[in-house]
Amino acid sequence: MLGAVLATILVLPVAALVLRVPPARLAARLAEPEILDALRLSLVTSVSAAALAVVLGLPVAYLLATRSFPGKRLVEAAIDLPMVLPPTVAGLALLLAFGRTGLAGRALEGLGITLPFTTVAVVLAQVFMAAPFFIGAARAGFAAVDRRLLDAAATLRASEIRIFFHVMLPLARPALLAGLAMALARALGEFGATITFAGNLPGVTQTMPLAVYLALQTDLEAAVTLAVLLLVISFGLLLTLRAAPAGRLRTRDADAPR
Amino acid sequence: MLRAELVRRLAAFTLEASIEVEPGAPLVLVGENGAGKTTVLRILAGLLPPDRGRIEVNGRVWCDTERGPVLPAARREVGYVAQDYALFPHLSVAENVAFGLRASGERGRGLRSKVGRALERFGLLELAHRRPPELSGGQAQRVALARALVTEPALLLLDEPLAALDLQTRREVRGAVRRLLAELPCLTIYVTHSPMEAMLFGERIAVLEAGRIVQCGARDELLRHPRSPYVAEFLGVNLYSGRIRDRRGGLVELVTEAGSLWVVDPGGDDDVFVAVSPREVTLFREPPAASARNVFRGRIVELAPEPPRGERVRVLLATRPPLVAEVTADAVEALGLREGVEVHAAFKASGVAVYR
Amino acid sequence: MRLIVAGALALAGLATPLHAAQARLTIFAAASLSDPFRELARLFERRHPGSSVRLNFAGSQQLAAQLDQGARADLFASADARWIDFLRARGRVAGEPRVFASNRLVVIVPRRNPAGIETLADLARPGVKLVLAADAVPLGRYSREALARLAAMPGAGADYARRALRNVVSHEEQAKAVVAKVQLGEADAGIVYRSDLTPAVRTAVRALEIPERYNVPASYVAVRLVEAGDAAGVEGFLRLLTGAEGREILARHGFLPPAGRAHDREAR
Repeated sequence: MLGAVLATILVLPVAALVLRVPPARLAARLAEPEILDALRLSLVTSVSAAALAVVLGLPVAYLLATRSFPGKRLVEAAIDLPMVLPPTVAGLALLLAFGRTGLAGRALEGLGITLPFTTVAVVLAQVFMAAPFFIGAARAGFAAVDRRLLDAAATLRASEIRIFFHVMLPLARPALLAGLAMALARALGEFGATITFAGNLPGVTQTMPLAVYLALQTDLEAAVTLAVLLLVISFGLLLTLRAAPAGRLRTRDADAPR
Repeated sequence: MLRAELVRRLAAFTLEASIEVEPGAPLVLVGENGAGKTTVLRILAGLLPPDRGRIEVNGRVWCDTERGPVLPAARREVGYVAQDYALFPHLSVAENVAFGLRASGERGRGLRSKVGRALERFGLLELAHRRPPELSGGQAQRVALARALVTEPALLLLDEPLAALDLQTRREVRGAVRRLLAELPCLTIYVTHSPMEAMLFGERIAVLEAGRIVQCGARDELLRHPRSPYVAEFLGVNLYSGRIRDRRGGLVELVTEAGSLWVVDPGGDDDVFVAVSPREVTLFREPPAASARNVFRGRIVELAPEPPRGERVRVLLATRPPLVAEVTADAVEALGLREGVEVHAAFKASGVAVYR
Repeated sequence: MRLIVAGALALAGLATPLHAAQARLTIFAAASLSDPFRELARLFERRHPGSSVRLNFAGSQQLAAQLDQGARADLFASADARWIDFLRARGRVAGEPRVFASNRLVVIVPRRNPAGIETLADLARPGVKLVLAADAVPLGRYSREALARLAAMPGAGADYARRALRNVVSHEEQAKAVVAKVQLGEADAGIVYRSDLTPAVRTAVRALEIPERYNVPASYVAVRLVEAGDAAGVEGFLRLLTGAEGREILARHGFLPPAGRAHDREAR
């Protein structure tokens, strides 16, 4: 009963969107250069953002999962903050930090780097919004790795780096993939922080959600079509990630005797 | 040679242990759950720092809190078999065994041949490509042993290697582990909570109670002079190994090195171990008329009052096989027991625990 | 189970529009009208004890879409007559639309003026970061129209509009976002409504007036909707809005009288 209620709340709106758009119209829309631009930009930025979230988030998640240090709680809460911040406020915060007159932005400006209104700003906004999701999942994944396996690895002469790559990483892989999927989804759907921090310029900073929102201002049908397009693409991406075989890493059996 | 002095505060007590292990003589560390056995192993392995202490293995100092730095686990030549084996679930059996070698920088043919030999030695060749979740308990234990030994550690630490096995498997594996312990070139510490296992596996036994080693010595020493009620009750038992010779009326005659005795038929023809609790042994000045199957005659070698108050006395007898009986101080008085007095010792065939 | 039903009922209660009990007015108004309309609503409630006014502010196009999708309101005040036409075509409009105010465009630059913009011609100088409202919102349309007209400015140059548009770094979804980008110094210039220059904004930006002949005035139009429960109440509010008091309040917030537009048109 509760499940049915939840399913209705989650699935019905998406289904309503999809049902409203005939597939032929989707295909036609895909041929439009502005749509292709927005789509390409969305994919490039969100994949970059997710990748950055992983690269930057992995060490943080690892430290949080394995070390205790003074102020750890504070760090954890701070990392979670972007998740509670309304996205437009997040965008404003990014402007105040990395904008031309922002805290760090002024220094960047001195180096000839201006972030707002650039594609880099889109990625930055997406990383800001998506990284906490990845870090949270990765942290939980690392923490769930059996300590006894880490001890075993240590007594087998493995350095901490080796333990990380050969025990932690493969065992936390399902959690990391789930975190990556969440981060990617968050980056793909990111709107408020992007439009506030990066602005909205077709081909440069106008991602799909921005295109959808602006279409909504004039043409509901166009907006719905774009939204469905975004949904279909995102669904494909997320499905691919989920379908990645959980936890089954290639073993180096080649070295084992037959 | 291992020499270790360890101090570490734990929640319930302070662990304070001094341990020595000689090559070729595995030390069995026995104690009840929570006595601090695993903590001792973790400190020796470098997984837990001692509050104070010094560990020296074959002349190399692994840890000296007074002077030098403490070697991390990865830089100690230690093999550690944890209670649940802690096999890497994402790696095949062969890769589990290869893990330590790879971490030490071994590659190519050298790696392959070492892994191959280890797999063969532990009968794992067929299982090389399986993953740990697909292994039985006994197989997993063999993988854990192979993985720990393939790196040729200076010190092997076995934490209850039989505890995770079911009864049947345990019985099957026990012999193999005994043989392994006997032939290992490395210093070995075997931890168990089972007094029986300790008696079977350890020539040298250290008894750990609440973080302190209350007694450490040869098996016979524990039998003759138990220094705590725990040792007296669980470790101070007459233990014999022998061959089954004769079967009669549900009983078998067991031939040991120093005489034979009758026990309840355990079935099968393998060599067995029997344990006779000193409390099961009754002493008589005259030959008993009673129905006990096992009656031995011999002189009293020593009378040893048991701790803590000497209300019970261990009576060491020069019988064949040699026996230790435990009687009350009152009985010593009543029977007039003294060193040199000849007595008859009897125990029932049904009062003997048989192991194989 | 009972809990779920109770919860569902509670949700249903929240979701039910609070129906036009006597003298309860629901007004959908363009975002730029927020300040004067709040003031007008308070005044109206004071004048008609027991009445209450609910206000919903958003972009005119967004409000029109909401109304089209079944949102209920008594009165719609749009920044662009075309959305009134849109609703009229769908049979949602009841009364006569009334133009009650107009607005004009103004160029704003940050107080520090990093790009050194002194004249309107500077907007087309290469490298200037110009922020406009998106095409889809009325302000965006007006802004582009204004740039096209400014090309006629002496010394502007034939391709003034093209060069200016090439300087656009962002199409913002509403006027306040344009203001924010300039206010924070991220953009070198932006085009907004005169009424967006609240006292707070004025401390952070400088305004460059667009001469009347090149300006594109926006007309604000209000209309009663078909579902209005209390037609008399709506008419009362409209009278207040278009009366002297309404004019005064609107003027205080930077809006111009509607005549401005009519006059402007006739002048051309």
